[in-house]
Amino acid sequence: MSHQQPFTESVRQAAERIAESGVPALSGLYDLTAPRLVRLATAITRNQHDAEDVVQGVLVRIALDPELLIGAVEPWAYLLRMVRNEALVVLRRRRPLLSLTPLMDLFTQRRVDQEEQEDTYRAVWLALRRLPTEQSEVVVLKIWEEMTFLQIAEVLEVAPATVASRYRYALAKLARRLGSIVREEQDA
Amino acid sequence: MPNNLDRDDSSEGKFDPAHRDLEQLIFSARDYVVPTEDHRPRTIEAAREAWWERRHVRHVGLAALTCAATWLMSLSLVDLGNVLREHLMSRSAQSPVLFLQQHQGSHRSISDWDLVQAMDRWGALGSQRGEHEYRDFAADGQRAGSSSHE
Repeated sequence: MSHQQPFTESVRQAAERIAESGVPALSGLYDLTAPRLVRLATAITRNQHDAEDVVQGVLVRIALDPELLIGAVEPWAYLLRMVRNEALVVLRRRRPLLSLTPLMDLFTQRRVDQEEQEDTYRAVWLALRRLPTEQSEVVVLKIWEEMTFLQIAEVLEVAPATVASRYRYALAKLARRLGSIVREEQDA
Repeated sequence: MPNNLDRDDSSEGKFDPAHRDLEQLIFSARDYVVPTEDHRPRTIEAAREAWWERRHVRHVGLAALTCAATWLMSLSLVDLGNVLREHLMSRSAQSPVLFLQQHQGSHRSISDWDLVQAMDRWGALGSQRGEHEYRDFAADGQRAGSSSHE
């Protein structure tokens, strides 16, 4: 849990700055957390526009009441949980449209040296979108947020064993969908 | 490479090499999706608007509370005034000395029998605390006083 500690402290300090200076200090919290929050919300809602609305809503709530984060034991985990809960609400509201959104909604960042990797990244995102939400969120938190099963369990409010189980099922599915790319990478 | 994949986490177990490569592949796509360029200003603007809106709602609420409190206070002051007036009226109604002083002020003499009648009626009026009755009674007393002179 220790490698998350500096980041979670940074989140708390950003919230404290909002409490001291008001809304203008929200930019600090935004720069610190928004890319990661949007990533998680996009994985859950499967639509970046919805994900950005979710993150915006959550950050506005924090701007109005920074004590939510300051008073939290784990501010980063608390923020992730807020985004996840909001994203699930959006997902439930809009579930019938899911099949109509491939990856057209994604706003991507490509460095010149990563252009040849774009197909791989798109394949990964597509494979993640095909997972059930409860599995894709675990993958995002485990691999992209580098959280342990225990930390993920706290965010999702489920047992660590459940998290581990979901992760293994997710990896099995991802291995089937991304196996050929993995083998190509290994050969290269 | 994600840090947590190398850490000893009892709940994670060991991953086989195939999964480790898969995890690395997924990890590499981490920064592929980023927020749109206008998301940051949009979020900060929305927060600013929400802050102003909340402040406005608070001010309106405070004004409404002040109005309500003022209205309630004025109502209670009117009630208090009525109670005080009634109290004072009843006190003056129960004071024969005041009554006599009023009649002495009219510079007219009153016979003993008139005074007894007046006291009886005064006592009855003590329970009816109203200004009108008091005035009527005073007028009757004056009329009675003048007829006894005739």
